[in-house]
Amino acid sequence: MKLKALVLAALAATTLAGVGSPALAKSEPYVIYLSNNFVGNDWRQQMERVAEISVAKGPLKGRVDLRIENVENAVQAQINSLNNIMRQKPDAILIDAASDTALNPTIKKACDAGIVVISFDQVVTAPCAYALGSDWDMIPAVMAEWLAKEIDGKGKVIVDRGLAGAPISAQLQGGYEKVLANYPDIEVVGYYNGEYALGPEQSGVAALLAANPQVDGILTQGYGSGAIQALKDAGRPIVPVVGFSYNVAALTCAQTEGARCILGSNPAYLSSEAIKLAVEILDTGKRPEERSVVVKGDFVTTHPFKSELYPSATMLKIAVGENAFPDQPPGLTLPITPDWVEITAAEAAGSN
Amino acid sequence: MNTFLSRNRLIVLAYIGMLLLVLITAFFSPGFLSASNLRSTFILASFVGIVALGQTFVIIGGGIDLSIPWVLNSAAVLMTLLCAGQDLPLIWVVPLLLAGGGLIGLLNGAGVALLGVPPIIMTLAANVILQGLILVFTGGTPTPAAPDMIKFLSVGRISGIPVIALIWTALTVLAWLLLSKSAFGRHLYAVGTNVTVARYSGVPTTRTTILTYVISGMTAALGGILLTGYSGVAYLGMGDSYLFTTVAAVAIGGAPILGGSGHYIGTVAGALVLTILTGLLPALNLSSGALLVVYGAVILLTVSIGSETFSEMWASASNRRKRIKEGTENG
Repeated sequence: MKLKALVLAALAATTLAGVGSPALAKSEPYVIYLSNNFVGNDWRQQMERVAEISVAKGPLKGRVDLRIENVENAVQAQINSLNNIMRQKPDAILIDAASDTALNPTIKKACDAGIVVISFDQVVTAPCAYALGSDWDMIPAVMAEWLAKEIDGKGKVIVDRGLAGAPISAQLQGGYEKVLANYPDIEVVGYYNGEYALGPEQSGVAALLAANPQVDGILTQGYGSGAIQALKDAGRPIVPVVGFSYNVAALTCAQTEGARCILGSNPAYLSSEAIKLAVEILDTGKRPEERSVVVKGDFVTTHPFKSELYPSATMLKIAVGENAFPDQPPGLTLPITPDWVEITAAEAAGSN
Repeated sequence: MNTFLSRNRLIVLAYIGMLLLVLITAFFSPGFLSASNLRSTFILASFVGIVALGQTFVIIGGGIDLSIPWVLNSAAVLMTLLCAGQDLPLIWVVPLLLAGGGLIGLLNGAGVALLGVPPIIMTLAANVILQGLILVFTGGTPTPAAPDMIKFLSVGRISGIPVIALIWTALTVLAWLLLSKSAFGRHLYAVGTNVTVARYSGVPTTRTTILTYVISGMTAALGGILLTGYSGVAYLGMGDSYLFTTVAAVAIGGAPILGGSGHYIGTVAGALVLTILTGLLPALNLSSGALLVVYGAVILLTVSIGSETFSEMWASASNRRKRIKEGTENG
């Protein structure tokens, strides 16, 4: 099986020593809490499901007593919840954080109590906690590079600005535009706010198509399938589209005649990777030198290419049944499973 | 004709505003008047228009319905879950969900009319409760794709005309009949103007108020079901933008927020204005922030041009000009 999640080189040593040799492990399962600040979208739900599945089978089976605590999108609620968790004296706490700074004092208390703290997805800045997440510099850069290559370095493109005021939106937009700026013959002719939802993406692209008789490429921050639908509705040629790897996006790309897509990934199995990292640290007592740990999800694309900007970027070719699932929900995040445990699409969707 | 104009001045203004906006948009966005784009604009406006139908009734009756976002969202999510991508279950799922929307409306209306809970509190609470229930009920399982029949209803065409435009037209006729030709309509305007006077005049005020919320619950549910066909998916948060747009569509259409007058015919113009505006703004290449500012400002401007205060100011200003003119002539 292809290497699916490349944890930083610094981790390699601990990986070998950790999961591979259960002899070193203590017999009692580790108590690991997962503190999640928000449950209101598909990604977070999938993230929690894969966390539970990845300790129910594979190398971590029986090794972890995983307890998930959800709080409703408020910093104060998460601080309270973390304080309660600390009283249970767990071995490790994994945090998808409501704020990158506001939890820091609480996290410091946990670290001082000898608890391993790993923040993931929405990470924190507390120095004693690890920050495990996707590479948000690499993802937009590779996708913009792919698009530029697909349109031979010239043409008119439109760019999704995401959600007004959200830091990640500015980072993705900036990432796209920084790479596009290397191609003097590529012009950004319009922007829309996709708001990470299909409806706004489709109507935003439709409005820009009406305003611009020539559009050669579309860089979304959302699904990409809304953009393809808008192209179809307007009777326009299906130009290359950049988006993120949801099932609906991969399916639309696979099933649309002549579609060219690249889909970046913020895998929902970040939670599984955080659990694995915690177990490795607890097993060996050795800590990674870098506090920030990058998980690289594969790009999913109709036309794989070799990135010059990030040669380590890995590509999966979209194939129905392998990484696009007609019988699974549209909102499923791809790729579904890390390489060290086998999680099926149905398990991740909670549909079996 | 003259009395028609003076009675429906605000509605006429809304349509004039819409035509102006069409011209401006066509200038900035050359493809705006193409058949495909007009069609997609009309489809989007239909969602706003259908959801705003109920809001129009509630606002004319002097209330407001803030539960629309999650009634819409719940109907969308439940529809995809119950149908699991199949057309056949729609036979019972659609009536069930419309009834469910109506039931939420019934509870809203009962809270407002019988228990005297302010409409803002009552419907906002319903909205939050529904949001929670949907999260609990679905357990966050991503929902299946929309059935093909729903996709046909919301983006399909019959000899070039979007199906949803036909649905919207039928609903508009129905709303017109209810407001202009039925006893319920007369009662509604009476309740919205002054509920005490209406009660002493023998108007069934409680029943009338409750009915407006029932209608609103049903149109929100219908909007949710149809909107799912547009993107092919139901997702959490899909109804959120419909709170502001429905209230704004009603206001642009000339109905005062305190109730008592206005008409759904005006709301139709409001829905079109808002949708055309969202088509125009990206074509202007403004920054994210400026976009929101302009969007809000245009709505504010459109609503205030039509407002009573503004027209009184306009009238007194022209009177003063007349007096000054007469003064100089005399002096």
